[in-house]
This record gives sequence, structure tokens and C-alpha cells, in this order.
Amino acid sequence: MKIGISYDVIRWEEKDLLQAIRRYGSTPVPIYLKDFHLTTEERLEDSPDLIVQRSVSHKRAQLSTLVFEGMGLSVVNPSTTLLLCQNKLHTTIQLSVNKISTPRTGIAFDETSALKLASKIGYPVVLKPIEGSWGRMTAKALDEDTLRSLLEYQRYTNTYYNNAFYLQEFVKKPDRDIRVFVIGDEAPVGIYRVNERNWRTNTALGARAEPLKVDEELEDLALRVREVVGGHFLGVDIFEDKERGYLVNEVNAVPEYKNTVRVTGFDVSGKLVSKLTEVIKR
Amino acid sequence: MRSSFAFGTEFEITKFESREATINFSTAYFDIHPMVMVKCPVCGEQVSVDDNALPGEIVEHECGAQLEVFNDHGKLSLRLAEQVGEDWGE
Repeated sequence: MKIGISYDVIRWEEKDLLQAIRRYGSTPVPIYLKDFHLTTEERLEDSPDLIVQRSVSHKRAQLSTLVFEGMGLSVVNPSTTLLLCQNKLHTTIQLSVNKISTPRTGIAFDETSALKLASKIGYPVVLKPIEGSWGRMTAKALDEDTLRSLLEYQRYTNTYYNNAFYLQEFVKKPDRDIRVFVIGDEAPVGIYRVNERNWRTNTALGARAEPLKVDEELEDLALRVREVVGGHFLGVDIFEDKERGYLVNEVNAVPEYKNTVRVTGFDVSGKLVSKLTEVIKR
Repeated sequence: MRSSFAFGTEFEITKFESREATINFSTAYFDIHPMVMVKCPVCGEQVSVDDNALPGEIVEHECGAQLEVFNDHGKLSLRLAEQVGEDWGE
């Protein structure tokens, strides 16, 4: 069996995945996207049975997945999942439609409207880029004055969605959030991401990973998220709210898991390869 | 039609002993390999790189440069690593 790894930067995860593929008796096929060039008429002679999409660039991930799928290859995660998860508004809407609780969220396409939206949500509010990761450019506004400045800053950036303002309530979570990994049809492992000094609990911003026991409620929630967004490998970010319980904040379609493996000892790559092997055999 | 897309990219690399070797990365990744010396594109000094390095691997050089391995017409080379992009992440 041959399993492709589509990538642009080799991180710890990609190295571990390559080793796990070998360990499970398959052949890893590294696919370096920066070397990628292919006409629409071409087909891969020596193509893998399945490709794991690991590009750190969302654009490369999305576009190369479309190309692979166009060749009839299965990709984990598929382009539909990538498209849905990489756009926070798209994720929020689909989760809400499917009755999965999320933080109160809204969208406005003009600064004046965004201020009105924030009044409806209630301060503090969090302004997030519609596409982005690692907590980048996620900002909290305590009041209208601050928000007005943040909106102006966003509008003058050259980001694609600079005139679309995605605002979310600030959830008063404990100094942590939860990351649960969906691998195939299971949610076997998760972590707390703890930060006492920064309300943004991304490990990319210095949050500390701590082991989490994924109980039945969390597992059920993560698998319900999977039913909505599809895919075989997801990182589901969840807030704990005192009154409302679990709120799904975001879903990551190319999740990083170095810290999860470090603190839990769980073999994420091995589990993923094992599940992918089942998919290929079907 | 055979794809021009490089699966299992082959690099020609020069080892310490100054002999030429060709490595197929898709099969040779887990074997034990010596280090190779590659020129730093920033300071010009020699940088020691695993000769089983895959294109896209990041190498931190003591001059402060963050470099990435790439395939320069079949030779393992280093260039300045791509800056974190607006669309980078999970």
C-alpha cells in the first residue's frame, strides 16, 4: 500500500507520519508541493492509494487537494472539509445549522454595521480573520472605542476578507480550551491548552498542553462535528462555558499534534495510518 | 503519460568523502545517512545537512538564517525559508 503525504514544510508531524506509514507496512510517498507541476491531461503513473494532505499553506492544501481529487485519488481530508474548516464563517454556519453549540457569532461588511453587531453580541467581543490560524490577528475589544480601531486596522490590511468583520462573543472560559482529535470514526485523544497569561489559548502562542481524558460527551460532540464537516482527521477546538457547557469554537482540517503526542504519549500518526489503511481496504 | 510531478524526488548530493550519490527519498528516508555540506545562501558558510533531508525541511543556521532544503536541478540545496503566510496554519 502506498500512502502519499502532500506537504510544503516538513514539521515534526510529517516526519512522524512518514515513519508511521513505514511502521505499518506501507510505503510513504512524499509529495512536495513546491515541486508540483502537472497539466490537466497528466495522470500519475505511480500514484499512491490515498494522500494525506499536510500543507501548512491553506491555499496550497485546498488547490492541490482539488487536483488530486480530479485524478480520482482520495485525499484526507477532502477538499469539501478543507473548504469548510478553513473558512471560520462557513464552519460556524454549518455547525449552527446542525444544532452544535458555538460561541455567539456574527458577520458585518461595514465598520458601522460591525459596531452595531458588537452591541448586539455584547462587549468584550473578539474580532477574528475569517481565514487564519494559530490565533494570528485575533483581537479582543473591551469597548466600542477599541473595536473601532481594530476594524480600521483590519480594513487597511491586504487580507482577502479585509472588509468582512467576523465578530464573536468573548467566552469567559477557564484559562484553557480543549482540543479533541477525530481520527477516522473515533475521538481517541485530546488535550487542554492552558494559558494563564493570554486569553488566546493556541499552543502556537505559548499555551501549555496538558493531557485530557476524552469522556463520552466530548467524544460524542467531536464525532457530531465530523458528521457536519466530513473528513478523517480533525482537531476540534472546544470552549467550556459555565452555563451552556461545551461550545465548538473552530475545526482544524490539517491539525498539528506534536504537543499532544508529547503530553499524552498517544501515537496519533500510528492511529491515523491504521484508520487510513481501513479506508483504503474498503 | 508519465507525470512530471516528482514523487520520490532524486537528488544528486556530494558527501563528505566527495563522492557522488543519488538518493531516492521515497525509499531511503529511514536509512542511516551521513551528513552533507551545503552552502548557506545568506552567509556563504558551509551548512551540515542530513543527506536524507526531504525538500521542505527547515534548517536553522548559526548565522541566524532559517533555510529550507530544496531540489536545485537534482542537487540538494538550501534557500531562505518561506515566511509564515497569511494562509498558514492548521
